Amino acid sequence: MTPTRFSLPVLGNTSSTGQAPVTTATLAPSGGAAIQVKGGYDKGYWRSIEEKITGKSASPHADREFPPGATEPPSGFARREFIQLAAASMALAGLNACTEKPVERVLPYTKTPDGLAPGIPLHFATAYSLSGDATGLVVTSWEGRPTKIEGNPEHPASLGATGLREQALSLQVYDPQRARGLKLRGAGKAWRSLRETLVARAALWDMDGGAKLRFLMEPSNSPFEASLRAQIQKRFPQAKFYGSSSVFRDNVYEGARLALGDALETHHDLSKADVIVSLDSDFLEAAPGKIMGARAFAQRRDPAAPAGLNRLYAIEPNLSITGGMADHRLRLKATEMEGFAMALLGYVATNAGGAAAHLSGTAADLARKVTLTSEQQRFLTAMAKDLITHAGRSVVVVGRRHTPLTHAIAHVINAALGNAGTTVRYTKSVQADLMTGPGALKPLVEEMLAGGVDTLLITAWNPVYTAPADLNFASALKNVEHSIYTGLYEDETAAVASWFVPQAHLLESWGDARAKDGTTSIIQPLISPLFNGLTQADLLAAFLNIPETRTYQLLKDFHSAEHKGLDFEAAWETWLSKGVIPDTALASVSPTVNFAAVTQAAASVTPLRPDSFELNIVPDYKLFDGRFANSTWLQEIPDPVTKIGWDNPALISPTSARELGVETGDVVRLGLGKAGVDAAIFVLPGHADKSITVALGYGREGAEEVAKGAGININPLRTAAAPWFTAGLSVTKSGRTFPLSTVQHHWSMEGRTIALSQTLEEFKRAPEAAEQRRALPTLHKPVDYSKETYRWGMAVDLSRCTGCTACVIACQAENNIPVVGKDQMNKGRAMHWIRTDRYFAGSDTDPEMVHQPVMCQHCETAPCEYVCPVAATVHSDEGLNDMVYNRCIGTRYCSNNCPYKVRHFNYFHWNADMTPYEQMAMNPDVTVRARGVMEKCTYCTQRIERTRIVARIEGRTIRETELKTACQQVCPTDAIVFGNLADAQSQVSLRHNNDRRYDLLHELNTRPRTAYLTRIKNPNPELASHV
Amino acid sequence: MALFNRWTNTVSRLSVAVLLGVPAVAIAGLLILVRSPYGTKQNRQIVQPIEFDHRHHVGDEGIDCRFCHFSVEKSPSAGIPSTTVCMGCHAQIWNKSPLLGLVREHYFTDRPIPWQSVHNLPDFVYFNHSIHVNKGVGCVSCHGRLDHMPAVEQVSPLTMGWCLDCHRNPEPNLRPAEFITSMTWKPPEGTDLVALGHELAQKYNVHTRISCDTCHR
Repeated sequence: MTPTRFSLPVLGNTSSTGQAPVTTATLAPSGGAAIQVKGGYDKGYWRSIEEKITGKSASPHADREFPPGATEPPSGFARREFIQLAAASMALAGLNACTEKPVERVLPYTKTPDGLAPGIPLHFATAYSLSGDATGLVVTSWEGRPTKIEGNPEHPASLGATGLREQALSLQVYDPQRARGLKLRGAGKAWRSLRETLVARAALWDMDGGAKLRFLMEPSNSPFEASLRAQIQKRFPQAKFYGSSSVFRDNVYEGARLALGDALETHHDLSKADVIVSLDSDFLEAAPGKIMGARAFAQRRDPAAPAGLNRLYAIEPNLSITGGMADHRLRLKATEMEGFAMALLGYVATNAGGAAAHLSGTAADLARKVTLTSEQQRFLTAMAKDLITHAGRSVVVVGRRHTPLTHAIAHVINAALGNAGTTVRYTKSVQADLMTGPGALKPLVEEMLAGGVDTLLITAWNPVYTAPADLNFASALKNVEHSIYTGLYEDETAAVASWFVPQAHLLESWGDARAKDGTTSIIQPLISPLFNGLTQADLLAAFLNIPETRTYQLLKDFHSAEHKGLDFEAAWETWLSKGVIPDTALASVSPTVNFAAVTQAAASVTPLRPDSFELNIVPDYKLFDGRFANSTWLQEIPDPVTKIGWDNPALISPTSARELGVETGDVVRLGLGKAGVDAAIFVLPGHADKSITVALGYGREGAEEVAKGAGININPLRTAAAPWFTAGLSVTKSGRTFPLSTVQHHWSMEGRTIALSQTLEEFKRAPEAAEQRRALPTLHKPVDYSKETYRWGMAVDLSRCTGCTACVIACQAENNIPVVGKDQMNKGRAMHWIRTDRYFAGSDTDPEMVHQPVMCQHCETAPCEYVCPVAATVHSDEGLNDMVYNRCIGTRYCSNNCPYKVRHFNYFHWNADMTPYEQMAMNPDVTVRARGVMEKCTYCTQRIERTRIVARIEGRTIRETELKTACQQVCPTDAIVFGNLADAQSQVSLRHNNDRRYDLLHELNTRPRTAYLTRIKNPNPELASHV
Repeated sequence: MALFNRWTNTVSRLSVAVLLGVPAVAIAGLLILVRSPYGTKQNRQIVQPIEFDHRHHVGDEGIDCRFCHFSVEKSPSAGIPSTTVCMGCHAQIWNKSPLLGLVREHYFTDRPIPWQSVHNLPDFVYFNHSIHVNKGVGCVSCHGRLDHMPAVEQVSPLTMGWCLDCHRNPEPNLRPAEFITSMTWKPPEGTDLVALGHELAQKYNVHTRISCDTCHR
């Protein structure tokens, strides 16, 4: 009996309609009240479009320190009743001491596994492949229980960091809603019965060569699976394999085929690039090999970088993370991108000379076909000049959504500028199926409808949900007698396919994967399958009548055959422990660029310049194509740009919103031909006009409880011909509104100088960060930390921070941070210990975006500590602001007095109803907090203490390399650095002494241990007025 | 004529004394109770599923603690021995003893023996065995004379005050590393105990911390 159970009133299950920070302010400019945009660091940052236009925050409560609800006691009860119950529970709490605590059991191993000591976690290398893009991982495992994912420093695509989705894998494996049993049309079946069916059918396929046997595969870069496929193909020569992915890269390969004569993979070395032009490529977050790219890019954002600052031009319809990092950004509808590329080619070919000189005539013709506005022309000219000036040290990158011709043009420009060989190199692709888009799916669907398929294995993720609407995949699937679908959840496709096979999670699987550059990793399991899942390789093997228990041996045999002449067992062990097989990266190839083919192809294209609204579909930053929709962590992490959780709104520019008379929260009907989808509007500064962007992955209708009801499904508006963007969208107001959960209005910083950003010139003239770090006079004698061996501190470089929010989820995984749900998030009760604040500056059409991760600043004179009546938050000898949960009585005074608003209160016992599976995801080194206590960033004190003890036993001090906080470890761009300020040579000390260093809310003299480094921008003087 | 009789003074004084005194005594009593051996669950012999006798193994046979509690020097947890460790000896000796029937059963069926936890810290406390053992705090200092215990009992209160007593002044509780598991070690006759404690603290670089984050995370 816990008294907590019945003191609790509440749960004001208020539908959030009334209280949500849905904007009520009108979008019409109200003149004088608007916030003035100033130069220098004090740019007049604003947080939302309503605030920008009206000069006051849209939320009627935004002037308050906390959002509505965040400081209220649980409602729905009279106060008197609450006190009565509270008193009763107090009395009963006393009685609790009279009861015996339950006896705890200690269960030892029968035989302790090798190398395992209870209480010491082990780390295993593996690799994760998301839609064909592999990243190396190192997984922390506590006595056989994986809890935390880190990047593998030895792996070229990880470099020790991960993106945010990889972090969520450790929750996904324990998701109690994962499919648990094999089913035939909804009825439970044994795996044996499916195997016997396959064996029986194999006899028939042997006769006709598998003429009606088809495979629809998840994009795969696994050499082992490729070998299984080859064996199947050999035995059943008429069988066919198709690849399918919602976020496909067909255009990338088609473009390469057009320009280079072969479907090659393009690699960009951004560390050598002085000028980067991104034609709607979100290479910092959404492209394969993104971490490698982001790391190289960020190293050149530091003005102290030996090679100097780089300069990024981004041309894109939707404001992306990459666009936010750009020095110059041009809003352009996705449909107009091809024309823009042609104009760019025209300019470069005419003016660059060199390899492209012979093209100048045709290219100039191309450029003439394109009509650009004067602003676009000015941007293009300045950018192209910059490219030409930096020939050989520049690069043009194109997003996967754009036409093959756009990609081909980029290859031509890169070749013309002599970038190939320096910033650009080419290799063969590691993909088993290059074409995985609607173009590849269409012939299969036609066969299925024509009755040409009687057995279909689907390992591709949920094609019933992802396939473009006009392909009618679901009805075609019903036409297949034996369709076998494997997935982690019983999703939309599971409901239609005849057989459903639960899939083994990555952390339960053996396998292998090749990164984009060819580096091969072995995937090893961390835990035996919790729900009897099978891997894709197990299923393929079943078609060869090989039992699933043999696939591990097959995998080893395959690699043994690949690496003859090695001491294989020893090599195998090394590969497993390192996570990579050495010397497997692919060699570069030097294709000849076919200039003529590209210009010819371009000559037959009429650049689009539609006047109508366009629909622009993008993969989601969190859910990708929807496969992570059941992850509560990912659902609740605010989107990096919109700061919205649990939804995918229709993003629209302020100008277009005004034109349509809609505002954030209004529901509109998006119509395309006969299909229509209702979506809630979110007005996003920096979005292209006459364009509406909606992310994939929401509006799921499978068996996943969390995914249900979150957002809208945009797939009905996707067609095989236009899977990414198309003009002709009709937008109709419905008159209804929908509450979007945004953290944008939460934790207002009240217009102070928070996230500093300067151009390089301004910074050289007057590094205004200097004003924000001077010691202020104080009446109190500061505590002397100079004698301590360790003075912990942190530094966040805003120049490097892209705002990807991987740190938020890494912190969540490391520190057992609960998820609160959409309603509570609306009340400002999200528990994330780090938030990445996103500020806009400048105009609302072309704003500058700055991201700023804010966690507990560990102030040396911490305001929270003075007000705690029970000393539940106190300072440690090394300068940490300790939070002692067992002392906390929940007055919340500390949060009220915290100027940074980084303290989070457990209004409910979020962890009360965890299933035993979810309990396994908890980090045993961190207390799981109950209701009624305050919590906040601890600088990962559990990691400090563990490392300290190891070092002290060995009789030495902590090495800089062995201690990293979770946010620092995951950061793809090294934006966050943590360490010992007492060591003058540590990275964190160097950053604290940097010219760009400043303290957040420095005027309060809190002496924070976390320092920030000003963001430095490197604008082109020719475009000075253009942010 | 006074409004009140004189005896009302006594009544009011008594009332005040009772009103203040009874709650004070009650609260003080409760505070004493939770700190008493009853409240801290000290000195209770815990019945285990198998009658494992530390007197015999530690006292008579002189088996070192670390033979079974193998991770005590490197891990937060001292480690409960796996059944294989039991069977290492008992496959040879007493291999037919009915007292060991359950051990054999659990070994051959590969199921863990459900030992009862004796020392149970609250979940928000993160104690680490390895650092204590490596810095000269002997097993016996906290766990008592295991060689005298037929069934293991908790001899220390395990309250935060008890932890802090030592963390504020660790020197009296230090011993040379070679005697860390000894149940009977005493400083040689005539040793200056203060000097010895000081010397050991220097030698092992003992640096106790009392900041909250030392134990609470």
